[in-house]
Amino acid sequence: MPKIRYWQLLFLLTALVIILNVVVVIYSLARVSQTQDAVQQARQIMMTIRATYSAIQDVEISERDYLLWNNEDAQQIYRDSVAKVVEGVQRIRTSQYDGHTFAKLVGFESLLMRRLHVSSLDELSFPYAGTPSSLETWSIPENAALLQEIRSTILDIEQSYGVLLSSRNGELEASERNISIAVSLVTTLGVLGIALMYRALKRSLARQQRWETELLQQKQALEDMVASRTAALQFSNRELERSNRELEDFAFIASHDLQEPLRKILAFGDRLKARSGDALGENVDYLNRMQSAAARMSMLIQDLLEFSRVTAKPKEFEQVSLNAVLAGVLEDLEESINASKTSIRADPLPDIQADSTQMRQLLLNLISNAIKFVSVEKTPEVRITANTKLLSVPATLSDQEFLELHVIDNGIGFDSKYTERIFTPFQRLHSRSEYTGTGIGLALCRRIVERHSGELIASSKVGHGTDFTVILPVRHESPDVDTASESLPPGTLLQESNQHAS
Amino acid sequence: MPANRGQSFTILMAEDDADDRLLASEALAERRDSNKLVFVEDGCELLEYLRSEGDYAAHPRSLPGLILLDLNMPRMNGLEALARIKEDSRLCLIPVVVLTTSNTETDIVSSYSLGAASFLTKPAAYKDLVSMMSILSDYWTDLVQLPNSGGQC
Repeated sequence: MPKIRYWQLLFLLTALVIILNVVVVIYSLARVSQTQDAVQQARQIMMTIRATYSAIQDVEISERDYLLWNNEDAQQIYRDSVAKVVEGVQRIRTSQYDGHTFAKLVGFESLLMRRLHVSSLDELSFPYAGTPSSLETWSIPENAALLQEIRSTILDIEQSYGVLLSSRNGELEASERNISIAVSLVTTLGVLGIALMYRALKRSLARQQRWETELLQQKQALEDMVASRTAALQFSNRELERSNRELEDFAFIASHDLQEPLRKILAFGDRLKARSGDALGENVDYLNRMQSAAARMSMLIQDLLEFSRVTAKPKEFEQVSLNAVLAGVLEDLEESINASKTSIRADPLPDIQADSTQMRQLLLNLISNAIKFVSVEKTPEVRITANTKLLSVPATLSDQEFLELHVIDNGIGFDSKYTERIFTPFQRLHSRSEYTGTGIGLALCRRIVERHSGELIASSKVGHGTDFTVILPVRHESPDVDTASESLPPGTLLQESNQHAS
Repeated sequence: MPANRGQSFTILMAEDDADDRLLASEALAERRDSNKLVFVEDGCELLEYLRSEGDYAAHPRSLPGLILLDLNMPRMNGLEALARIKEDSRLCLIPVVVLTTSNTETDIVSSYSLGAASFLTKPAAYKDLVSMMSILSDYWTDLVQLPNSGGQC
């Protein structure tokens, strides 16, 4: 329900008052015209009465003339006068008159009939041919008394009409007063209402203005807050990037410096063995074990160096033909592929923006891994599939084209509880005597993929082979995207990818 | 003074690490050739040796036929010493081989741009060091014909 404002209520009230007053004025005007009509009618009746009275006087005079002088003209006048009296009575009858003069008018009529010696005026047919009554029946005092009575009746009627008229005049005046009061009331109330409305409207507008200003201020405050938060985030992000880089630099330098004493241990061990190997007898075995441990440590450090180098000494991204990279990798692995009698089937791969050296390392590690962990019962098979798809990236809120690459083998596989452990540096699932290697290969792969803002996961079942899934963006917005700011929480893209697939 | 075919000459090695000095002399000794290996321990001493200044002022030495230069040294590092040598018209013809543990791109690029003849990484195994020293010695003694002194850089 919309809220009714103060000024709206005021507007309604003012309109109501105006309408009410218009009704009052119209009603009063109708009353005025009605009263005026009644007054007019009363006057007409009065005039008719007077005319009738003068006609009855003429009847009296003409009768006398006729009876005294036997004047023929007087007879004619007498007939005309009687006709006028009848006409007057008929006119009075057709007039509208109000209740309290009615009886008097009826009395007036009966007096006239008595004077004319008839019981009803309807007895007098026209043209009136009657003659005045004879001298014997004619009585002066009776007629005079009748005339006197008629006159007093007329006076009575006139008086009551006078009262009526004056009361009607009073009504008229009252109506006029009502109208003027109504008009002035309407004017006053209208002006007042409009003034109040103006004030209320002005207040409401001012309030609205204030709200808008407040809203604007709040919006500004919010924007400022967002900006300061963004700045703080950017700052901590830069700090994180810096500390991350420092750590990587540290790992790089540390592993480099760790090589130094190890190199000496190996070199002097060689010297000792060369000079006094024979003298040591069977104890030379200790020396051999020391040397192989040192060599192994050297390899581990080398791998660590390689691992930290993925981000510590990165190359810029360029357009890389993965087909060419794969061909090179398969050529390098030719010997071990032939030795293990592995059959390799590969889909055509697309070109993507990446670090070509790292792409080579990625494919080399994944494929050599697949060749290494072969099952004795089966002919080793490695399948490489590739397709591109659009996935939405949460950080940018937009769709981006991604490469989904699978390296699938039918080797020994592993328990699914190890799916994360295999990507941890130097973590191994098998003893060194079973399978060689330092355990850096897959960790390096994941680091490379993450540096490219992608994802690497493995799914496997013991005895049923392993499926490595690599998701890589086909293009990068900036030529070299920093891993610290771009890498996604693990599984984000793959979840998305599975949704697309189902 | 730079060596000619068949003649023995001095190899001057700038190396601050005593172990590396020992290993290098033993490796060269395996060959039992006539080239002499002399050591200095940092860039400053290297320049004093070459210019017969400081401790070497009293006993001036002849210029070496080859300098083996470590990069990471106290007082004056290898790259700065290399730059000084190449600025000096008397010394600029002496071949300098950088022999270091580093294999970073920047070190390799700056060494070559300053005029190093070669950039080698110290091998881990002693037998590799032996073969490297012998190849170095042979190469600069027997294979390369260096210009006579007085040549321009």
